[in-house]
Amino acid sequence: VSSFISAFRPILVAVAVIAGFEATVMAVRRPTDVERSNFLILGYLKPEVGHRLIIYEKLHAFGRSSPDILQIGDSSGFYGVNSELVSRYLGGLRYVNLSCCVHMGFDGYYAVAHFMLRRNPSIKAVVLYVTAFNFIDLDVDNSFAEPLQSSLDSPQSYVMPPSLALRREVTQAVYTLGGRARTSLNANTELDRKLGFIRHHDGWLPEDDIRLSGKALDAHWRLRCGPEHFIRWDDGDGYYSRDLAGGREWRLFGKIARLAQLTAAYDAKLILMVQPLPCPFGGTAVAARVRDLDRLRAAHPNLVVVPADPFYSLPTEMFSSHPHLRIGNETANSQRVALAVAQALDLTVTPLRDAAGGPGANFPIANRNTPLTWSDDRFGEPAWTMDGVRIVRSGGETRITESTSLGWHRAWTHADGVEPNVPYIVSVLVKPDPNRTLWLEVRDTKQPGSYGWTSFDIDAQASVRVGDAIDADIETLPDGWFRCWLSMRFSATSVTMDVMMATKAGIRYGGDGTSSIAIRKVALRPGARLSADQE
Amino acid sequence: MTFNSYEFLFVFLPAVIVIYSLLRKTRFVNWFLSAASLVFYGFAGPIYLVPLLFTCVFDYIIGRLIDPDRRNGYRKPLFILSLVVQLGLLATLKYTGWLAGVVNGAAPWFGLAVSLPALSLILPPGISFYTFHTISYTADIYRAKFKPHNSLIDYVTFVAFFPQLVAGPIARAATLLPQLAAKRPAITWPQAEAATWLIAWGLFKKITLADNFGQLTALIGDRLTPGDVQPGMGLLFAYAFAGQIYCDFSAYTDIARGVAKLFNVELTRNFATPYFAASPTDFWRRWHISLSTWLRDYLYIPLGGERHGRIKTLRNLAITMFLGGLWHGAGFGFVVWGLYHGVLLVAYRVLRIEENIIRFLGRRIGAALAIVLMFHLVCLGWIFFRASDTQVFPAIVSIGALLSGRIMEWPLLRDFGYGLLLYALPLFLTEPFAYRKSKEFVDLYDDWRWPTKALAYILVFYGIVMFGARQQSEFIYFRF
Repeated sequence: VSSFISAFRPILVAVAVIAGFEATVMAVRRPTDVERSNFLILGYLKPEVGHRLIIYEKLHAFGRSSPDILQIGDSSGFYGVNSELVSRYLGGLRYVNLSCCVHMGFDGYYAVAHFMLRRNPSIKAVVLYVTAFNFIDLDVDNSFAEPLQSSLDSPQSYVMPPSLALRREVTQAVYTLGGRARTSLNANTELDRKLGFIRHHDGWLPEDDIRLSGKALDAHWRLRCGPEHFIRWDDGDGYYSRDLAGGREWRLFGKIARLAQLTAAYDAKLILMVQPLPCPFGGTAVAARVRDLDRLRAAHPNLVVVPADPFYSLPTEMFSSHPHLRIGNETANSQRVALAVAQALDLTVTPLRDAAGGPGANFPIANRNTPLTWSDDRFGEPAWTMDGVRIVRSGGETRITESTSLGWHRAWTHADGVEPNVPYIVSVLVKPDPNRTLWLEVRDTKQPGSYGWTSFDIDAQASVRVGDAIDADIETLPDGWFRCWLSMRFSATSVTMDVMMATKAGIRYGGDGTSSIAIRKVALRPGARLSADQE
Repeated sequence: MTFNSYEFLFVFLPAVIVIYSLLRKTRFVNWFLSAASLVFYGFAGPIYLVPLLFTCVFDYIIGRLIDPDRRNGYRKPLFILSLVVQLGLLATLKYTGWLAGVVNGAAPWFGLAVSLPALSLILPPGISFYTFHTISYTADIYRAKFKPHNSLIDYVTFVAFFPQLVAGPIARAATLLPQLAAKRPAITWPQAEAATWLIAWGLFKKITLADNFGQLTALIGDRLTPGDVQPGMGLLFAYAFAGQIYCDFSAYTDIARGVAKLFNVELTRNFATPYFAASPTDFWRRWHISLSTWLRDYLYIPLGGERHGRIKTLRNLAITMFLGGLWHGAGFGFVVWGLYHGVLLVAYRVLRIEENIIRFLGRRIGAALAIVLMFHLVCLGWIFFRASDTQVFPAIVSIGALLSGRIMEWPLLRDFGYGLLLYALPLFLTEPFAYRKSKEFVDLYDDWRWPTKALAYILVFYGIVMFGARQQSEFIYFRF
């Protein structure tokens, strides 16, 4: 023994010092299991992938949140199921949405479920909510499954040192030299905002797809639903894997069975829900999959598939992209989920007036009869403030023309009389310049308050929402005009609206003195979405 | 299963050590060690065991047949057969696909309508290494420098010994086989502690330095595009890869030596502060020592070495380095890299560059400058070794652009430069000590007092925990 101690004295001392430090970190910082993991890469000059951060944040925030119902799955449920609404429907049972985002695959869902079930004996049911494209597509990437399993669901994950929780701060301090030099590219305020929202809304995030319009949207649906807007889903060898004896099995059969076994081991139900398809479909695979699911149900009594034939479609207009319901439609979908959970757990659903199916009070759609709260079509000073632009009127057309200055190229104004916490739509009628994009920045005049903006690339028919912007779109009008709009809730009664010109590279640039956009009218009206039924 | 995986460190290695300890005094110990080595290798793919076992059995039999004591008239043909079979197997698996591509690509230039099938054969990991192991065995027997071994199991243990099977150091039968064949005493506690340090330092170099250097290399490499050549970017690329390949390969060797030590087997050193080399000859005495000495003993000297005049010496050097480059892999980059080092060796001999620098600038400044110059020449060579076809030209142009006094944009220089400094810092702090003592840093450990050793363990541990790259990459030399 003495020779052992003598020889290993350096290691024993090092282990003692490390153990002491780790115990101190454990006692003082009290890191969660997720913080004590290697899930984040935190590499130098390697911005963390947004999806990885979202998964991390969800597991970190809700790892020991004692939910009654846990949702796992892909981004269809991440955006499409409002956890707080489901909780209210279920009379206060806590529903936590840990679906996320892409590339987790069924092995990734398993890792999340296992992680949560181990730590939360309160879980009565696990809702596996996935888009039907998981069953249709043959090539479903699950590259996130391995890091999830090895970081959070493997034997080594149990013995990770608590000091791993300090890794984020330590690497940031070293990579950025204590914050002095900008050598790290990990900063992303919009992602931080979304993570904050997720933390405060039991894992749900409102749909935030790049909004495609017109020909871009048509192209997307042609790609996913085919030129005839019909998905032909025929069975084939690609859907099956073969065992050693030569028998074949639906390749997801084992994955779902494994999840059912896992949930059964924790005395919980597994509820499989499939997000409806965005276009009509048919083919021999539909019946084959329903038969497979029936077999699964027979083999695993704790598996509930709701409805029993889970494949159906909804109108395409209800979707923002093939896997995602467009914002506003999650209300009805959450009710659908709540009903499924209630059916599986033999519960009664609490009726909610403001969350009834359809847009309802939460998501009003403005039409031509919706009165305008404010509008302007003259764009004169002093009501409008010009910054790097001037107003040019000729031939009955008003144009915002950029100056040659370096910086912003924008015009802004204020409007009063909005009702707090009610969604409003800011719209602008424009004829674009082919070399410029249009940005609408909208905020409570008094900050801090609501703030958001949308960039409209009219040429590409794509708009990107950031901040508190709820929805946005580009509508094509006759004679080369477009209506660009975004919706937002405000916390006070005064709103500032900023119409900006931008290049594809950014919003601060050196103007050429000639680029301009024709502008006809800026309007503010109540509503979360603007119907096409407008003047 | 790699040395830096949990499966190896916490399951495979402890299990093998425990069972080895139980069997150590029995005659089954090498049965077990060879089986464990084959299991380790089989993790890469059971199919890879076929060429490995064939190589073992074939050269074991050839070794017996060419034993000088047998007075066998077929010794020479059998030895040549062994070389042809072993090198043929290596060439077939490693170079056929590449050569077919080269021929198909070059044929139209010569007006030929040739289209060889694009073969994509499996390349067993470490085949270049174990082929050299076995050639050293048969060659030494043929030259009557070594007696053939009587036990196939001992021989398989020698060829497949898992610490050094995949990426060396390239073992000589005369050095390793007697150690494995002998009854080894139990490892002492101090030996175990020294082995632990070798493994710990190797893991630190691999996970914290090599893999992060590798990510920097990739990031900088992405900037090497023909349309946007930033002056000096190629140099940063070469620095980053110089750090990566040194830390990666020397880490493997450290871990291999540490693991072998746990079985009371000493593997040869493979590095000796190579970036402190003052000339190409000096560099090859310090870099991948087991390969350079193998090439010297089994290729350069049989070619004639320095025995037939200056011109033939230079020719032999160039041939040896060309084949040394080709040994690394199928690709023009490796060939150019080997030839480049051959040219450096010739140029330094003919022009007496090192001696002239020292004569003009004095012993201290001249020696330092010779080291800096040699380091940059080595770095230039790494560009051919690592860069893709589309990166080589921009890399060299970007280095040339420095001569015009221009430098890359400041944010790029700041970000990449800081990253390089960050990960090179441990090398800056350790390598000079090793150079001064003519050892590797890892071998200075024996000279330290225990508090220094304890501090080293703590720093290595937190270096890995805080800064270790989380996206594991395999050791570079696994591909060879």
